[in-house]
Amino acid sequence: MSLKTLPVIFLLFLIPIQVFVDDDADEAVESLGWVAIGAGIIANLPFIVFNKWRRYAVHAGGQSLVMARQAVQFYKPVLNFHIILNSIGYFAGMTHGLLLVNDLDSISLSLAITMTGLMISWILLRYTSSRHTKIFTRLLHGQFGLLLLLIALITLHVLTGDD
Amino acid sequence: MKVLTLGLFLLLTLSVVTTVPTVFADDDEGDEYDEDNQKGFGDTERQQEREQEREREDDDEGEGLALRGGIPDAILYGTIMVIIGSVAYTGYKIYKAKKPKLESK
Repeated sequence: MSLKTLPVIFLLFLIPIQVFVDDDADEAVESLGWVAIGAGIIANLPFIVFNKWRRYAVHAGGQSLVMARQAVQFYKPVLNFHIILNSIGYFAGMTHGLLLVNDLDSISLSLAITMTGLMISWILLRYTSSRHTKIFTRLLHGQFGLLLLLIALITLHVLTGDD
Repeated sequence: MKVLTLGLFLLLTLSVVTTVPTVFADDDEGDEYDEDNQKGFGDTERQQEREQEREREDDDEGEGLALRGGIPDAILYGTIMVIIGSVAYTGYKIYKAKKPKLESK
C-alpha cells in the first residue's frame, strides 16, 4: 500500500462520523448499524461481481480473456477497497453491538459470531506465512454458505431489531 | 513487519470507530433534567411526559418482526453449526484434493 493511498484510507474512516450529526444518541447508535450494513454492501458487491466476471471471462476465452487480463491491474485496488470498507463495517457493527449490548439477543450474537469468524479468516489469509493455512483460509473466506448466512442474519437482525 | 502493519491497521480502525461514538455520546437526559429544573417543571408534568413516552414506545413495539419461543436460540445454534460445518467442509476439500497426489507418489 503506497503513501498516496493513505489520505484516501483516512477519508474512508471518516464515513461513520456522519451518523452523529443527529443529536439523538440512540438514533446515532442505530445509524452506526446502518453504516455497517452499507459499508458491507459497498465493500462486497463490486468485489464479488468483479471476481465472478473475471472467472467467467477466463473460461469464455477469446476477447473476454484479453479483457480479463487487462483487468488484472484493477484487482489490487478493488481488493484494498474491499478490505478497508469491510474493516470499517466490522468495527462500526461491533461498536453498534457493544453500545446496545443490553438488548443483546440470539440473532445479534449469531451475527457477531459470523462477522468475527469472517474477520479472523481474513486476518489469517492476509498475514499468515504458512502455505497450508493460506489455502485453508482462502477457501473458508470465500465460502458461499457463510455469505448466505451473513445476509440471512443481517435481514433477521433488521427485521427483529425494533423488538 | 506484517504483524506491525496489522497491529497498526487494526488499532487505527478500532480507535477511530470506537472513540467517535464516545466523544459524541449524548447526555441528553441530564441536560433535559437541568432544563426542567430551571423552568420549574413539576413532578406531575414530568410524570405525564413519561407516560406519553411509554405510550409511544408501546406503539413502536408492533413494528418489528417478533420471533417467539426457541427460534432465536435455534438460529444461534444453527449459526454455530454452519460455521463449524464450513470449517470442516474446507478441511475435507483440501484433504480430498491432496489425497490423489499423495497416492500417486
